[in-house]
Amino acid sequence: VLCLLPDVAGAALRESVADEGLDIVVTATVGELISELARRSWAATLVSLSSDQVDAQVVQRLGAQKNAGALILTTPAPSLQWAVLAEEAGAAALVREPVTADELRECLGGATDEGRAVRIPAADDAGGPPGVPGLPQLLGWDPAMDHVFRTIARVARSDATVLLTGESGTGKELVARAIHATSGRRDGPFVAVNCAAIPEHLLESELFGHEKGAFTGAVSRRVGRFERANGGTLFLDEIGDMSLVLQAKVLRALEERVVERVGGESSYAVELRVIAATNRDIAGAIRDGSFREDLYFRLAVVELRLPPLRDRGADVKTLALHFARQAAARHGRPVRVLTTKALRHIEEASWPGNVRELRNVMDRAVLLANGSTIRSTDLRIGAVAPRASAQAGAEPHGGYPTTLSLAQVESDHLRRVLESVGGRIARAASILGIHRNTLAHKMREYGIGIASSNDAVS
Amino acid sequence: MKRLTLDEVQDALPRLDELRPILDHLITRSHPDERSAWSRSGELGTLGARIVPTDSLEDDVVVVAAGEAERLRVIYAHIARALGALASNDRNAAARALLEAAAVEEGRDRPDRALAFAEAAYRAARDERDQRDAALAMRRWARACRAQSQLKQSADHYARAHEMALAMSDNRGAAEAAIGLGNVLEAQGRWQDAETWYRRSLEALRPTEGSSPERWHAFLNLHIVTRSRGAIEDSLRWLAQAEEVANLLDPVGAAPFLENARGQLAMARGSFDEAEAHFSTAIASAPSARVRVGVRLNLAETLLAQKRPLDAVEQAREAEREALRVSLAPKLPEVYRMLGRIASAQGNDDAFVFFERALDIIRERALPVLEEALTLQAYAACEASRGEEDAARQLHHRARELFETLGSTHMRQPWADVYAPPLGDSTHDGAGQGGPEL
Repeated sequence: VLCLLPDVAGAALRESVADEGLDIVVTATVGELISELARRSWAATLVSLSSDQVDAQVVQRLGAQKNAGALILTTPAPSLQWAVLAEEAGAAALVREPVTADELRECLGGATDEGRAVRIPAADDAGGPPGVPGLPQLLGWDPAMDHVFRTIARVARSDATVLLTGESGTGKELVARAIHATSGRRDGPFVAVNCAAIPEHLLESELFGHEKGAFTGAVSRRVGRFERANGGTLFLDEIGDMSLVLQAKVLRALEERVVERVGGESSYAVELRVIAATNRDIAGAIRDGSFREDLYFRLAVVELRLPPLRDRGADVKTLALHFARQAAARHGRPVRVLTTKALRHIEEASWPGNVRELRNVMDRAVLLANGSTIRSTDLRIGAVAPRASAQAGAEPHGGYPTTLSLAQVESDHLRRVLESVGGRIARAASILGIHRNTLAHKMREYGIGIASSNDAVS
Repeated sequence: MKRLTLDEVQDALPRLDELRPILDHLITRSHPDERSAWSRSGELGTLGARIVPTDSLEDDVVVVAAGEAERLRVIYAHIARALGALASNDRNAAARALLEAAAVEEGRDRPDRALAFAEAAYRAARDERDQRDAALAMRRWARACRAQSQLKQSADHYARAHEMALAMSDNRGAAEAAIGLGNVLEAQGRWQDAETWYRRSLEALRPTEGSSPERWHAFLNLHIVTRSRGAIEDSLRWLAQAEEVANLLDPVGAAPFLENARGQLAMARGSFDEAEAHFSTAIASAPSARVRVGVRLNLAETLLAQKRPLDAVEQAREAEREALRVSLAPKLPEVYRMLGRIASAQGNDDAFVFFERALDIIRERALPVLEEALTLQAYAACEASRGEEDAARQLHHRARELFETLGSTHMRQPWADVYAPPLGDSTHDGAGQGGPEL
């Protein structure tokens, strides 16, 4: 931890955290502090606002320093002005002097509990991973992705139909877009359609289009996705869920390169590349007769299986940091570091929703993070499904779990309310209709971390 | 055993009114397909893709049938009382019994049936010397018409009920009719006219002492219409008055509605953080799933405006779950419009599936035309955003036609509103914004 503190305070601090294993470096001037920051990166930077040298400009400048880690500001008299400035500068905490060991531990994300901070790399960091040119979002460092990149590069040169397989959330659409973007059709359209999401009675007209008056509701002529993709690439996502009747029509369109609008008299030629994807066991579907074998052979000229995130060990951390950076930029949040405990949670999670789930979790964590640091309590792993309570049986008895004790329900409710208000105890107490002291007592009782509360830094 | 989706169940059954309770029961027991939890199709999942548990269906059917039998027994009992009263030449008592039957139907979201009973109640009492029951029946008839989006008829009936109440010096009845008419005008987007009638309700109430539920509704609805026409300062003043009345009547019961109003006011001013806090507070104290669904959709709107689509989806999905849990199918089109708009804002070409599903539900359940108009309006915007200009134009045209049939002066904004709750002992028509009663 790099500190700008008066000598006495620095010595006292060093002594009070002697057992914590923290490396405390104290500087006496802003100039020294800036030099240290230029030299190396720090888990946290602690600055006393009582120093004559520190003003709003200095604080803003420190907030923008990418090497500073978590910025902790201390003052003998916290005021609204300092609180606003701390917030604007993205400080992790604003605490009253003298700083106690407990307070420092908490501000550092609980040094013993959360571990040191891991810096989220800036966008322009050198040494980026191998990726597809023009598609920075398709990232992979793990050897499991080597085959994916090589196959994309290989098939991009041809017009071969590609079947992408793999679990949900592994990035099949991104790969399809990558193939399109690196192919000779890159100037043509890329049109995606999800075959499982669209009800069957609409899917045919969505794929092939319809003439005005072809059926009730066909109020105007609609151009189908095949036609829209003419000259480019058509991505048929979740094709394993398509009905046999439509499979036959798609097969005909692929074989003859001719489609006919629903209710139309004539057919028209299309010139496009098809990439299909499925998360289902397509071989099993062929065996049980729910997927046409001839269509499979037509689609799987090249078959590429995308690895699940749990098989991409080396990628989890880097992707998490990448998504955190993206989310911070998108939401305008000053998040710059993750604690090692948060990172450990990320690395140990099973990620059934794969990269999509990881991206969602990091997006939410950035919004929940207090100041510049993402802590383990900001991660809602397993709770950020795109559909609420999607698991079967998760909604017994009219959506209400009946196996929980009253204490579990209360504890869970407190956590949720605290999360919903970004950890603001006063606001949470108001929602819960109880006094903030009662809430604080219950939080202690249920072991709900004060770290998730904004009130803790004020 | 094969897993059945709700779409498959609906396709297999004939469209008979008698089967609706079974279908509603299956809807409350259905759950999303866990296999698509993280897939794109899961993100776009709607009612029809939900899985129906069929393991205990035979036992469930017995419970559903018993519930239906009880409802019929209650309705038949009211009818027997009505016929008995007619035989005793007490036509006002007959009207009251028929209105009780109307209330049962209204309570289970069947305004079409409530309308038939209310109309019969009016016919029973219209020639009586004491016109109080006839006036009440007229107001209930008007309310059922409004819930059915028969806005012109509703306005006529409310105007007639207002005259009847004034002729009898029934101040609360006149105020209720005036508020009802204001609500119809509000649903038509005629805010200035609605404001006039809400003010008229306050004039009718002036001679009565103290606070009344009608006054609460009038103030809150005045707040809503003034906010809708951009008169924020006026709107604030009306809200303060609503709060004053609520504090005398039922401060706890009013709290979620006041918080929701504050949230919408904050949204109108572009203070989305503040709106979010108000909506969260309103949800925590909302008295029913119906209210929570409405406020959650407002919260989703705020989150969408803050470019937080994940949070917006979560709130909209929670609203869907709550609506399904208590068999609140009439709220689903509003939920799917929200999900469609979020998906569309994220550039999802398949977002239209939400609007198609909303339209399916509206047609299957004969929901109000206003619902269809609002859905077509949002659908048009979605089609335009994905470059389907022709389809967008057609949808927009159809939406405009429907709004015109409702007598609306202009298209509505997509924001969902939640209505003033009944406070105190009144069961009067205080709801605003053209939606179902609380």
